[in-house]
Amino acid sequence: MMKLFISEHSNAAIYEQIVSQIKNAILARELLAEEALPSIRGLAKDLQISVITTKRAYEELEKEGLIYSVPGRGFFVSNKKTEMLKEKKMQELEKHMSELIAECKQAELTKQDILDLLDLLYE
Amino acid sequence: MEVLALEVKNVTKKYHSFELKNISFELKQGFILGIVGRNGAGKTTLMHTLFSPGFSDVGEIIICGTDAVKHPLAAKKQIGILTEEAPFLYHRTLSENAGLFGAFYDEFLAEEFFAYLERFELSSGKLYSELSKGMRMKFQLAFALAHKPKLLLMDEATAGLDVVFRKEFFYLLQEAVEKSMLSVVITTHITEDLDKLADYVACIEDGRLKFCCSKEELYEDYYNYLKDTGVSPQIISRGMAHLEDVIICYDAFSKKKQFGETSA
Repeated sequence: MMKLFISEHSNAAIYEQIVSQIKNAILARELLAEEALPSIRGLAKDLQISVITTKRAYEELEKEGLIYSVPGRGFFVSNKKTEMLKEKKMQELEKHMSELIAECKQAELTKQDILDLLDLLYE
Repeated sequence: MEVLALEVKNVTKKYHSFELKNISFELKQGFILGIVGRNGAGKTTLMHTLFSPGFSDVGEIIICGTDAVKHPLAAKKQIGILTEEAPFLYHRTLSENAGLFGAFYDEFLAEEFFAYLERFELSSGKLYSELSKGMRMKFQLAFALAHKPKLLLMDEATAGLDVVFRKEFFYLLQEAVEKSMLSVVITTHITEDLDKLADYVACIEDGRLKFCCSKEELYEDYYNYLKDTGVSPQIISRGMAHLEDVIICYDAFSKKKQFGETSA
């Protein structure tokens, strides 16, 4: 089961922290399609937060189509939207990378310099 | 379908020189409502009106669908009470107390009561008077849970108890909420307890209900208010909003919201 961690010092609201951590868990395949999520009351108890907060997080994820609910049985990871999530993540990474490359160019690094640096850091 | 555990409609109650004025709110099943307010604002009067619903002067109180003003006895069987001044007998053991008071509840299960005692590490042979303040609370919780209430009312139940104990106590409470869709109303002047736990927050001032809304909504308004007043969003720890701060700012942001000035 995935581990959620609530930071009191984050400037993200608690429900936002839950949303992003579950998204990451889906991306990292810690949560698989059709897998059941903890119940809203169970999760609230484990994290010692209010039910309305976990409920809001799940509703947010449901709105984005990442999870779905079955009345009386709880919430499950949807299998349709994980691809979309991946694509979104790719776009995000592409954006980060182009920013990074622009910065490298400013610092007068050649493409080879960047690749060397990448090789060195990747390990 | 969402079921209501508690409906309070236009309740008024005069008590000597004090008056609860026209209080209305409701609570859905399986949620926790925290009632805050200064000393003397009317929290305990409101709780007493809920403990003994036959005694409100005007208004309706409906507990899990039962009209509690007309049928106070039937309604009382559905509620569990945790308070600083519990009625238990000092010179009787825990099991004797449970036997005496449990007889009032149709659904009281002795086995369940003893199972809770064991979990809470209380010995049933102890006298009630021998228990510490924290142990008494645990005993009250064990007793209340054993008669399967649908609504649990806690009046300043955790006052004077240390942080570690309160944390453990609230875990037990959340477990009961999870297991049996228990609904809980808590009054406290320690708003810290409600920061994380409460789903809804009601504030009482001078016998009137100032507001009753979901905590998420309240925190969101507070956050937008801070942003609007020019606080940089980067420095607001949204993971740790304090109810106390939110309540202090409530007048300011509710006014702003009313006039449609927020960015939200």
